[in-house]
This record gives sequence, C-alpha cells and structure tokens, in this order.
Amino acid sequence: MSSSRVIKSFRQLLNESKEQSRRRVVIEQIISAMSLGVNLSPLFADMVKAAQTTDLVQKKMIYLYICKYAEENKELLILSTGTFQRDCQSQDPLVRGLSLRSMSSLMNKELVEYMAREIKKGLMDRSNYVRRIAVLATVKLFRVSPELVLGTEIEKKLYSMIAEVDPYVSINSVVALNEILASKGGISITQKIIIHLLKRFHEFTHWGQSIVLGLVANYAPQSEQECLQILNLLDNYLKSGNTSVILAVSKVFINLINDLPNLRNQIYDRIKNPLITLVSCTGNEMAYPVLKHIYLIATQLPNLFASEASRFFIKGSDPTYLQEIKIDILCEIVNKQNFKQIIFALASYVINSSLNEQISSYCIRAIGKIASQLSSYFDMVIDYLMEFIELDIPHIVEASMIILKDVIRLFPEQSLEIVLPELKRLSEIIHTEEAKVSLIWILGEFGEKIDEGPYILEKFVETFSEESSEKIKLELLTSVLKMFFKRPPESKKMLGVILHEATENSNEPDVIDRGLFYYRLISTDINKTKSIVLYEKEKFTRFTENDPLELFEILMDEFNTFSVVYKKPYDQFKRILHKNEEEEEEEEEDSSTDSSSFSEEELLDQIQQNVNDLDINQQNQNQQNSQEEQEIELVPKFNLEPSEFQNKWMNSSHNLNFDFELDEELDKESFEEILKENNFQVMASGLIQSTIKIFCYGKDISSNQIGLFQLLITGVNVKLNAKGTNPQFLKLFAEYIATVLTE
Amino acid sequence: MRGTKKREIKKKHSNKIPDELGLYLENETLKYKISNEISEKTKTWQVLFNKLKDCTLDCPPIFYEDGVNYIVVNAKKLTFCFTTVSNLSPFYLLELLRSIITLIKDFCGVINEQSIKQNFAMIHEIIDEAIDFGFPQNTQSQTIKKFVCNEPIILQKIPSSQKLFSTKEKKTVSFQATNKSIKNKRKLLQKKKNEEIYIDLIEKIVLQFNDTGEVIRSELNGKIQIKSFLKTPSHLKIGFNKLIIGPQDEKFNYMEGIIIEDCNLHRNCDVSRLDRENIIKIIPPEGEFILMNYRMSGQSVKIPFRIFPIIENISKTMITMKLKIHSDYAEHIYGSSVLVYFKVPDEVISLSYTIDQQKKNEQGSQQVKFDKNQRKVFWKIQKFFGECEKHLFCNLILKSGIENIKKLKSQIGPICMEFEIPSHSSSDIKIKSIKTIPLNNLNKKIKNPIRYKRNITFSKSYFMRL
Repeated sequence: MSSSRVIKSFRQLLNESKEQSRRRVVIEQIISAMSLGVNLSPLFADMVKAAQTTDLVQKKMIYLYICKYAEENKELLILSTGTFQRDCQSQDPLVRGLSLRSMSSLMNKELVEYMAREIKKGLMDRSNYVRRIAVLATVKLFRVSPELVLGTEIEKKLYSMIAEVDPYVSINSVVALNEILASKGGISITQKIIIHLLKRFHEFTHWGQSIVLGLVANYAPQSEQECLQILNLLDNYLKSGNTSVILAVSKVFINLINDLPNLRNQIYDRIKNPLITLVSCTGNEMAYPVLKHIYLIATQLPNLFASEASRFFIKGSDPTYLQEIKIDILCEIVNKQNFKQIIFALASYVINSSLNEQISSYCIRAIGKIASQLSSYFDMVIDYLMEFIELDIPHIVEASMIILKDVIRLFPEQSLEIVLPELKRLSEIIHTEEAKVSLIWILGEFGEKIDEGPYILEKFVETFSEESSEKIKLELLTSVLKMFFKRPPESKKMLGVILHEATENSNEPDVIDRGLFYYRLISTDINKTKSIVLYEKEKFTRFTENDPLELFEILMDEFNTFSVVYKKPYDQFKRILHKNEEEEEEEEEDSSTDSSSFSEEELLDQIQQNVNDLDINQQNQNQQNSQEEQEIELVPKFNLEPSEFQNKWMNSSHNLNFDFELDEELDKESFEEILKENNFQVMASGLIQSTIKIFCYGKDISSNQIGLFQLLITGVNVKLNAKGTNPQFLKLFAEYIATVLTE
Repeated sequence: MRGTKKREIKKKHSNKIPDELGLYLENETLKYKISNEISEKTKTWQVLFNKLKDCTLDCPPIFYEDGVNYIVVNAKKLTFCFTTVSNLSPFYLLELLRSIITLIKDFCGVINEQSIKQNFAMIHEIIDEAIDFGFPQNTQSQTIKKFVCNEPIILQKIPSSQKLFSTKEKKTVSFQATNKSIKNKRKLLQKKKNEEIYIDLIEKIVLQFNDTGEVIRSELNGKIQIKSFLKTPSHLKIGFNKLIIGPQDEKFNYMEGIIIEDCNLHRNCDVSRLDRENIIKIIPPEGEFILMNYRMSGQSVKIPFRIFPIIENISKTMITMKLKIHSDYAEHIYGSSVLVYFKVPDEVISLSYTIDQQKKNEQGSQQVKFDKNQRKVFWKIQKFFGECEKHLFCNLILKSGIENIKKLKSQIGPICMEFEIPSHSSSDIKIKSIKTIPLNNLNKKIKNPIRYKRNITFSKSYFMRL
C-alpha cells in the first residue's frame, strides 16, 4: 500500500518536531504504523537523518526502522553507515551493542567490509553484552559472505570464546559455530568441549541448556563410565521447569541407551514420570507434542505406560487434537490387564454425544484396531460394535459396520458365530452407504452359511433399480455372483434380475461394465468364473493401513523434533523450493501487501489523535494539505470481466461529463496505446463514421476507487463520460485522463 | 538484501536455530502483526488464517504447510505464532513463544489487543533483546528490563471479564491486582512503600465417578504461581505443611503428609529443606513465574462434590429423575458459578422441575434451564457453600409414540459439573508462611513487603456416567 498521505504527514511531523519528547512520540507512531503493515519505506532518508540523535529510545526505534526497510533503500543505506560507525565507538555498551546488532542485521553486501571490521572489534570488546552480540553477528556476516568467516581468525576466535566466563557469550559461540559449520555437520564436538559445557550447565539459560543438550545428544561418550556420569548429571534436569529442557534430556537419555543396552528399561522409567506430569500440567498446547512423543515411545515399549492408561483418558475440556492422539496412545498401550478399562472408556466416548462425530468414529476404528492386537477379546469388541449399530445414529452405524467387516476378515470362524444370526436384523436397520456396502460384502462372503442369506440379498436386489449409490450397486453385483456359486437354486433368479438391471437399466458406466463383464464371464466358462470369483483368500493378521514399524525407528532418531509431531520423517515435510517458485513467492508477497486491509483514514486518524495532544491546529492543516495534493496512480494489471464492467456502468451512482481538446489528431490505435501505457484497461473500442469510441477503466492504487470511462473522439475534440461511486474522485480521474491524453 | 538471506536459508536445511522466526499477533480479524525483521511474510497470515478458519476440528498448535512449520499459542483471545523451516524441537519453540508472551505481559501489565497496539515500539524492543537473529538470548523480565528504554503505556480500564478470583473476603485482592507492569516508574514514585508478592496455588481436578458413585478416576494438577513486584532482591521462603515428593508407595502412611506423585520446579528453586523443615526457598525473579507444577491422584485428592442421581421412573411419556449434590469442604467457603449439566434423550420436548431452597436468602441464586438444541439440562448454582446439599427434581416430558424404553435410559447423562472454589485446595497443600529476607542485610530499613496468598480449586472435567 503506497500511502502517500500518511508518509507526507509523517515527514512533516518529523521535520517540524524539534523537542525530543515530541520526536519520540512521532517516531513511536511511525513504528506503530509500520507494525500495522503500512509501507513507510519512502521515509528512509528522513529516518536516517533522524538517527543522529543522542536519545537512546529514539535511536532504538530508528534502527528498527532502518533494518526493516534497508532492502528497499539500498542506495540510501550508505548514508547510515556513518551513524552506525560512530555509535560503535560510543562509551555506552548498550549503544555499541545496538549499533552492531542493527548494522549486521542489514546483511548488505556493500557494507560487508564495515561489518567485518566492527565485528572483529566487537569480539574483543570489554563489555560482554557487546561481545555476545558480536558473536551472533558473525553468523549474519557468514550469510552474506562466508569466505570472511570460514577458516579465518574469526572461526578460531569463536572456538576460544566458548571458554568465556559469561554464559551468554559462551552459548552464543557454540550456536554461531554450529551455524557457520552447518555444511560440515556443525561444531566439532570434542570431549573437552562437552565436559566444559556440562560442568557449567546450571549457569546457562533454558535455551542455552537446550542447545548444549542438543550437542550432548550427538556426542558419543568414550566409556561406559562417562555415559553414567552424564546420566547422573542430567537426571536432575528431568524436573526442570522448562519443557524444552526435559525433552532434550530425554533425547540424550534415549541416545545413551545404545551404549547402555542393559539399562534400557531403567532409563525409560526415568523419563516416564516427567512426561506424564507434562501432559497434565502444562496446558493443551504443550500437551500436544508431549503426547505425540509418548505415543512414539509407546510404539517401542507398549508396557511402559500400560499402568497409566487412565492418564490418557479424554477430558471434557480437551480440544479435538488432544482427543485424537490420546486415543492413539490408548491403542498402543493396551494389554491384558488394562484391556477392559480402555475398551470401556473408548466405548463411552463413542456414545458420548458431546464429542465430535469424527472423534466418535475414530474411537470405533480404535476399538477395531485393539481387536486386531488382542485377538482373545474380539468377542467383547463385537458385542460393543453390535450395540453401537443398534443406537441407530448414522455416523456411528457407518463406522461400526466397516470395523465389524474388518474384524470378521481377521477372525472369520469365531466372529461369524456371533454376527451371522444378526444379519437379517442388521439389514433392516442400516441406512447409510458405507455401512450397506460392508453388510453386502459380509453377505456375499459368508451369507451362504445362514438359511436366509440369499433372501436378504434378494431384498437388496429388489430395490437395485432405485439405488442411487454406485458403490452399493457394484458391491451387490459381486456379492450376488458369489452367492450364486454357493447357493445356486435360491440365487439363480436373483442373478438374472441383477445382471439384466445392471446392463440394461443402469446409467453408471462402471456398473454396466461390471455387469457385462460378469455376464460374458459366465457365458464363456462357468467353472472358471467360479474359481475367479471364489478364490482362496490368504489369512492375514495385520492391516496394511497400520503404520510400518520402520517408520517409528526413523522417528526415534528424530526424537524431539517436528517429525514426531507429524509422524513423518523430516524428508517428507521439509521445504523444497526451486528457483522459479522463489521468484513467484516474492511476487506474491508484494501483491499481498497491496491487499492489506487497512483503511488509510482510520490510520491517519489514529496517528493524528496520538500526536494531537501536542499541536491541534497544525494537524488540521496537515490533513488539508495532504488531501489537496492527492494524486492518482493506477493499479498496473487490474482486470474487470466484461459483464462486471457492464454491471458497474449501468449501476454507478455518479456520472460526470467532461470535454477537452487534444493538441493533435490521433488514430484509434495510438489512443489505445497511450491509455495502456498509463495502466488504463481498454474494454472495447470502435469507429463510428469519423468518431472514435473507446470504453476503458482503471483502478487507483491508494484509494481503491474504480473509474469507468467512455471516450468519444472527433478530430481533436474529446467528450468524456466517466462513471464511478465517488464524485470528487471522478473529477480527479477525469483530469488525470485528460492530462494523459494531451501529453 | 533480505532476499539473499532468504535464499541462503532455503539452501541449507540442517540449521539448528529458528532461522525464520516471526512473531505474529492477531485479533479475530487478523489485522495486526509484529514481526522481527527476519521474516516478514504476509503469506504466513493467510496460511494461519485459513487454517484457523477451515479446521473442522480444533486447530492443532503445531502444523506445517508447504514446508513451513507453524507454532501457534493462544493467550487471551490473541494468537501468537512462530514459523520456522528447520526441523527443531517443538518444545523449544513453544516455550520460547510462551516466554515472549509472559514478557509482554510483564511489561504491559495485561495482554490484550489494546495494550499491544499502544506498546508496539516497546514490544519490538523487548523482542529484539530476547531474540537476536532467531537465537533466544535472555527471556527473563528482570534482566531484560535493563535494556528496555521505552516506557509502557498502561491501560487504565481493565475489562471485568478477566476476573478469575471472585472472593470478597477481607485481606484479599482481586486478580487484577497483578495486572501491572514491572516497569512503571511513575507508579513507583507514587507508592514507594509498595513491595508486593503474590503467591497463587491453583489446582485443577479431573474426576470421574461410575454409576454407583465410586470414584474411578481422580487426578489433580496443581501449580504454584508467583508474581513478584519486589524491588529489593530477596530470598523468599515459603513454608508448607508436610509434603512428600516421590512415587506413591504402599509403605507411606497418608497421615504423614501429602504425597505428590511428581512435580517439576523452577530452576532457582531450592528444595533441600523441604524434607525436614517443609520450606521451599527461592530468589524470586521479577514478574510472573511458576514455582512448581505438581500432580497427584487417587486418594490424595479430596473430592469437593458428590453426585447422587436417581432415575425414578421411565414411562412412555415421562422420565422422572432426582439429582442430589453434596458439597464436601469447609462451611465458610463456597464454590462460585457451579454448573451442573446433563444430556437428555432426543425425545425430550420439555422439562418441569423443582429446586429446594434451603435458606430464604439464597433465593434466586439457582437457575435451571433446558436447552432444546443441545438437548441438555443446565443447573446453575451461584454460591454453593460447604457442607450442604442441593436437590433438583425434574420431570422430562417426552414426545409421544416411543417404543424403545431401554434405549432412552442409555441416552441420559453423563452428569457433568464445572466449578471454581476459591480459598480451597483439594490437595490440602497449605502455604503456612511466606518470609522474605533481603539479600543485602545491611539495609535493614526495608519494610516487609506485602505478601498475598491465594488459592483456588477448579474443574472443567468432573462427571459421572449413568
């Protein structure tokens, strides 16, 4: 948004305000407006000038501004170096630090020499505040020109600075080296560094501790004794008040298991309690990743959390993202002892109507999954499923039938005893699509075992022609054919009917296709058909939908990262951008700034209100000035559909006629060219006798006003008819178009 | 040169720091943003906004879109968000984001749209000091205070909706008392004497009864939260009744003390004297922090309310049921805004009820409502004093033509409760003494600061299945 008015009034305020307190308010307003998304880039030169203040408050804000708009004002940037350099010599460490931090944040290639010089000085500074800023500035320098850092004295200096007494300098050096050497796998971790960092571990902030732990996790201790020492040292930090530290310690522990396999269970036991505490004590946002990590550990050690099942029961106040992951965990930790407890809880969520429908379906799926893990309890699972189906609540019936089908696939012999006698009743109460498909599948596969099997199918066949679902039709075709080979006397007629219906009276190509296919198959070789339709199915014990076990091994390696939260290795979600996309992206950014939803008026009001206390009269003047000097600038690629144009033309509230003369005669093509050059879009044009008629339109950038025009040009005389919503604006528009054409 | 920087970042994915890290603030219309200079992407807005809008379920606090990871935390109707392209620890970022929120709160006094809008410049300053180029530096209010130059603009009016503690007893202050900035010179000059410290014991319970009234699940999650406005650095000693921290063991006698199953502690906190003297020591940093999070379960949790439902009769036209709630805490304290609600079958069309008014002066403090759309009966009790009983008799009138009476019964319940009980702790943990000793003993003139302790027990997950 180019907001010339706002900028003008700010500039004026800056120039006129001499008092420090007043300048402060003005600059504060500029920062506010900047934060609200207004583009204040044109003020750059004024702000650089203002930076020569001794007031630290102003200086801080101005530097913030300079950093933000540096890129758009590269050519002006050189102006600011003087100020930066002067401030780097200041007596006050705060100013030195600020200046160094801001200058290095500019990341400008032209300034790289200044930057490098000041950074080197900063690394030797007597204030540790400045030193720690200088250390991080090396990373910024590295990003601009790596050759100035890699393998130079700066790198060596950073290594030596790890040993500094100030914990911030020390940690920042580690971080900086890690970043600079990222392509070589980060900072080289030696025993000496690890011992040094662990010795003073308590001095570091939580962030520092997390970073050190990240290094320790990648460190391979040289002896078992060293492993144990690290374990003992870090054990206390499992009670840390900071989640990040607790999880980082957990990661170190898990990695150490490889060296201490016989302590595996003890180590996991140490982690268990702190994690459970985090679930309940840290709020929903934090509980979410914690639960994801517990889930991952549970896939490795299902019994670890088995006795704590009730911790993962859903609470009424849980958001749905917690509910889902809790159900996942319950599925993993289920065993013979807690089976009843967990199944009961899950079943109660299914019928608990205050939970989301998706969640209750999810619970049903979970119940099915548990049945596949603990085969000895499948009958209890089937009982629950039958109960759910009887509730006659669509989404529950749907999910239950699908799971029932899966359970039957897993344990055909045992479960059929319970389900088969119920099939007739089920066929009467089921209404939804997927549930019907599942039922028909069961009938086709096992329906011959009960007397009324074919007759239930026949009921469905009778309504075949009215059936609107293609899925059901297809499943029915297959099931009837299967039944035909198992119970030919009862099914013969039904098969005839359905094949006829499918091939003659259906609209769905797939249904016709399958009908024809079956028909030809049967008429070619009936015995072969039988062997095709009733093939011997292999027994299976695990659904392919379940996650592959290897995935969890990869995720264990990526413990304490986003991977665990998404249940995907980093490769699957990391950002891959190609050159073209990058450019596109930048374009997108630009256009989206345009659409920023700020009303300029609102903002102006606000700014003025705030500065108003100081001088009311002057304000009003400013406002007037800025309104008078308003200029029109058109949006380059603004486009209207012809119908939109017509609509607007007919319905515009204001109309303006404007006549003017051209300096010389032009033809139609050159008119269009001139208009296009100035970002007017030509909708239509034509020649009627000697009069040129052009319809065109345009949209102003700053006010978003749209103007529609009809031009009638005879020789040098132009009749302009403009339409729009704002009369004042139309006048401006008309004047603008006149200047464009006459020039 | 920002462009170059971005491209650099994209080439390398092994970065261990949040290299693209912006802080976004928003209100419902997603209008405002603060971001440090590294990331300035309007795109982030659109992604975030769409995600929040489109999620049919609750939007998870961590998600990714197009390779960018988003970490979202809500605080007081505002949404704060970090983004990064590196595969970092989600906990690290969540904690960092929370620290930033706490910082803003400490400096502005309160967090809301207004206070943030008025203090943009200061917030930029704070973030600049706290995070340098995406590397967290110092996030403690006390240390950052030295580097922050802008003065906060404090909101005068504080909306009443922020009340949490609704006590009217003497010697207590409202919750808003802590809504002040740690950096406010003007106030300091006015009231030189006022050194204050607030210690809050906040306990949340999760309780579930089975149909016979037995407790089948009871959990308590508590935290001790301190907000310190001490200007003189001091030791703080908090005395408790006997606490035993450790895994629950059969051998422990419950009479010996309160058994805390597990806890985590603030880093400065010294618990070496907890075993013998029941004292926790700390040098409190300025601003708000959590001294300890703890959890306990099973018998250690005292049950504040017991629910006795009786379904007397189910006929084809009406369900008659009686509900009794018994409160089990000291007589002089009361639960405020106690809400009891339960789901009724779809076939219920209206409700008639009676509530017994035990004392005359309590009239009007109870309300019963039947919400047809949600199919729920709500019973609201404004003040529920300890050691008393409340009754609700209700007739649920059914629409005609009901066949399956058995099915009806399965559709009643569960009975849920939500409540807050100020001045009560279900764990029985008590703060017995609060002492402050200035670090620098030479300066003996300093008065004892004003110390406040407050406790509250609340629950949003308290229910009985029928």
